[in-house]
Amino acid sequence: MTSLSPPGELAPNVTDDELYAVDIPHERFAQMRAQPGLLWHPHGDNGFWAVTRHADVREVSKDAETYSSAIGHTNLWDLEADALEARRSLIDSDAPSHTRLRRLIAASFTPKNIRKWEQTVRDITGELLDEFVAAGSGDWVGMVAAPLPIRVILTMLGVPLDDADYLVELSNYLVEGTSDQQSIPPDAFGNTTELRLLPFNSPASHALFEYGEQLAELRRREPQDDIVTTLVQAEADGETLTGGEFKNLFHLLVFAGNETTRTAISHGAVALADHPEQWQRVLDDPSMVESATEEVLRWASPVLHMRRTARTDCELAGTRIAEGDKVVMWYASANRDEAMFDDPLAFDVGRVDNEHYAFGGGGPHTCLGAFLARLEIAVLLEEMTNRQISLERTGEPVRLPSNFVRGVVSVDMAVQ
Amino acid sequence: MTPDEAPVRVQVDQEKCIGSGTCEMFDESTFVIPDDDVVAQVVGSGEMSRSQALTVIERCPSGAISIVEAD
Repeated sequence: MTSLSPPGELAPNVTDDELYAVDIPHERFAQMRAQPGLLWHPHGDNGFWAVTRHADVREVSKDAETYSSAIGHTNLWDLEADALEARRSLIDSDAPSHTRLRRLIAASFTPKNIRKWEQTVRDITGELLDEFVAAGSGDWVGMVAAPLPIRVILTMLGVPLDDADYLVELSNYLVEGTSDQQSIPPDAFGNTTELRLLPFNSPASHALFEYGEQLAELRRREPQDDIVTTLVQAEADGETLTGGEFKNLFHLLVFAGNETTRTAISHGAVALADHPEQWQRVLDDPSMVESATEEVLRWASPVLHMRRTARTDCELAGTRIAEGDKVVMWYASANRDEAMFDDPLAFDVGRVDNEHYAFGGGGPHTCLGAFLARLEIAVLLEEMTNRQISLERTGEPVRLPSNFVRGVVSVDMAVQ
Repeated sequence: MTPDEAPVRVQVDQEKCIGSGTCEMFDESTFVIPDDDVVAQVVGSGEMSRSQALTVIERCPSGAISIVEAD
């Protein structure tokens, strides 16, 4: 079972949420990458193996048979068995149930089908940019980075735009749930479910579940060309989705569909404002949008880590891992691995062979929305070049103290 | 012809595929997800250069693509 006293050095602390209110602790990760093998990172009354090198993250990510997503939890702490079942979504599943669930939703997110949304993304982006330019300055997160992806995913899901503000509000409460700061009481939104049974321990999850169920009911009666209709019809085609699966999937799409891209767009804007010579390269040659998009993703690393649990005794980077041990992939570290990237701490919009792990390190749990996120970021950069918009940072970013999502709460920007 | 350019035939494991569409984007003359299906199919001869095949095998998130070894 769990190695309580593993041999060798211990990892420096990289789980303290407060570290991330400042920035990713790059030096600590660099120190860990330089050590042979894996370092054991104490956490709570136990700990985990910290996987920090690009090549090792890839190995764990691709080997879903050895490294389970369904045991314990995919976050650092274990959930009790009933809570894990109640909260289980695509992210916390293994094959074959993962394969079945993923296939029910996969078609909506293939590159071919995502391309169909390009004009929608462009319209939403243009409107937000025009408003920001008209204002001249303001909070980039609240005015552009947050509304852009949530409006896109809600349009795709079939949520009426009149309800967008309500879902943005719920999503913001969920983000709080990834840190230690919850500002709403357990019974908010009429919640009566124990918080531990809800995603992010948040009563906002209850409200989101309820909203999703009402929308599903509506789409059963009045089908539309949207993802919720696809999901409720999938129920009728032999491939069935249970009520619990539907609400967890709806919840995941709303949260993951906006929070992570919002984070990428926030860090991207900060990076472009702080490296004006890099943004000038894109303005001068808009064909660089593609490589700039990938660099924004690498730079942002919106999801800092994901956890797996060893299904059997195994070995990684020469370190023996026991069945049941937690194995944590630090994407934030892999994306700055000097063995993979030249000058990894430099922001370079022309970077080639940019095999970043912003969407995970490969394998069946690769980000479902990767092509949508890429489209949103690329369209934003294109529309900024079309309008010749350059940003100037007028304040420090306020960062979310979370070791899981590298959130930016707000950052003041001005149009130059 | 170098070994990397020599044609090989590829296949998609229908049990493993999660329908990400990565292969279709990579080479839509070889891989297609039919409109009425969610998993990728190989169309045509399924032949591509070994280096191309190794690239798409690496990119496929589900590990569903492989080279058909000659008998």
